[in-house]
Amino acid sequence: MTTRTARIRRRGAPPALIGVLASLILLAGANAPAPAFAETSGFWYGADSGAPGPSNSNPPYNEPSCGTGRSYGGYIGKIGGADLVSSSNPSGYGPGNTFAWNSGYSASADTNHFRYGRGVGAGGYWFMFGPDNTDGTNLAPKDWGRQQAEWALADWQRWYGEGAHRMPLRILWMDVEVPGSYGWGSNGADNREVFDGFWDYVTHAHEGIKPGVYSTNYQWGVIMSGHTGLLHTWEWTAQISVASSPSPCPTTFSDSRQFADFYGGQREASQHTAIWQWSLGSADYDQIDTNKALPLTMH
Amino acid sequence: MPAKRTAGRLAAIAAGVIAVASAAGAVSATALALTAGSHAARTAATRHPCRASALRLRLAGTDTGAGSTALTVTITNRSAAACSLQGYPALRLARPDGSVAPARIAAGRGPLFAGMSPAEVRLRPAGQASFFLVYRDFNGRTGRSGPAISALRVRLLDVPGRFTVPARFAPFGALSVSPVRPGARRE
Repeated sequence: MTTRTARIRRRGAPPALIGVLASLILLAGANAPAPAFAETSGFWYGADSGAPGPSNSNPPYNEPSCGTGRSYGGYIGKIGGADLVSSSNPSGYGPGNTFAWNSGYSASADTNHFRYGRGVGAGGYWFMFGPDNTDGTNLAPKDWGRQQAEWALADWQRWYGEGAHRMPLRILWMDVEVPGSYGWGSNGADNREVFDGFWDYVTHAHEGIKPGVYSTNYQWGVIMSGHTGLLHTWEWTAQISVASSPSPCPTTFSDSRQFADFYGGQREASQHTAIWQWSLGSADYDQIDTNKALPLTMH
Repeated sequence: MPAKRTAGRLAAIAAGVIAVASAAGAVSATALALTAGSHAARTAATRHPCRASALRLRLAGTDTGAGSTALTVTITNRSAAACSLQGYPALRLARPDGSVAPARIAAGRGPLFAGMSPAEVRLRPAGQASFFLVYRDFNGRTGRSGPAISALRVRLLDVPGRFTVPARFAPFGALSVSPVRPGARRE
């Protein structure tokens, strides 16, 4: 407004006219919706795994942080994982077998998405093992990646149950974390082969589900050493530039206080950077950028 | 496992993590044991605490999701006699060189730990009990894991001696722990 007023003065407008215009501008500003919530600019607050759930018990559901009135804008749980594979759970199915899947939170996110048009609804991730722990299959790295993708997609469809539980955020996230553990050895090329095998299988399955990856900038760099490029893969980062508990809650992926630290050659504004996980206390929250062309469905 | 109960338990683990951080001043595992121990002393006369030589502790496994992990330890009674356990385990984290890593370990709170009072757990011969830990996998600012841990050193209430459970993990920040509970269910 200051700039606009200055421009009018340079053109020599009478002071009375300036006053009227200024009043109109102020009036218009007072009537405009306050852009206080991140979701007004396409950034939805959400949660993942075991917590948190909504702050209220009746729909529409609200996020239990960052002030009142923010929508519960999404939930991403552990649909399965290589660490859950056993003789009694051969595809490592998550729901009912892990703390990191909550059916109630998933349903709440779906209600907000489908009934109220708020947020992205539910989605799922698969906890990956690297090439040094193949759950006894002894598969080569790329085949091991494909095998995990096959299990993960089967788990996704099992939960989906032909529509019994919907999963509108159609990105199957690979949870890649902790260098030196979970089969992630020091061979970056082999590690990347596992990732590539998973990526290829999901992409060519033609089930309308896209592959994505959850990691941190640091851990991704160590695990995939020398093979880190990710220009066409959806990313979800758990790393923030300056603190683990930003305050106030962020309204974008980047502002003067902090930025989401993506990886593999992508940055906050890149096409496939979708979610930022951060913590308040010890609870995990997520911010989801629906300004990107996320693979979402309304059915 | 009944679906409703499962949902509640699944809902809770991160809430338990929240409780660890929000609890005013996380207490040490030793303090936990001492607190529970005073109660145990009052009831020990009516129980039959397990002998250390009768017990075997082992890592049942871990369950990791999006930056948090639940680690479960099972306890098996290898003797021919029934015995009982009670309370929270007192834990220390051992580095690969054998030294003890500083750690904040607190009793878990929140929905996951709801109903898990430090009550007596009776173990028949070959019977099993368990407890679990929940921790973060890395520092959200740096993206790095915590210090490398190679074993848990465990003391159980009224059980003389210390157990060492090999377990490779790298927790960051505070850990929350459950009391000893019946059964060997892996979280």
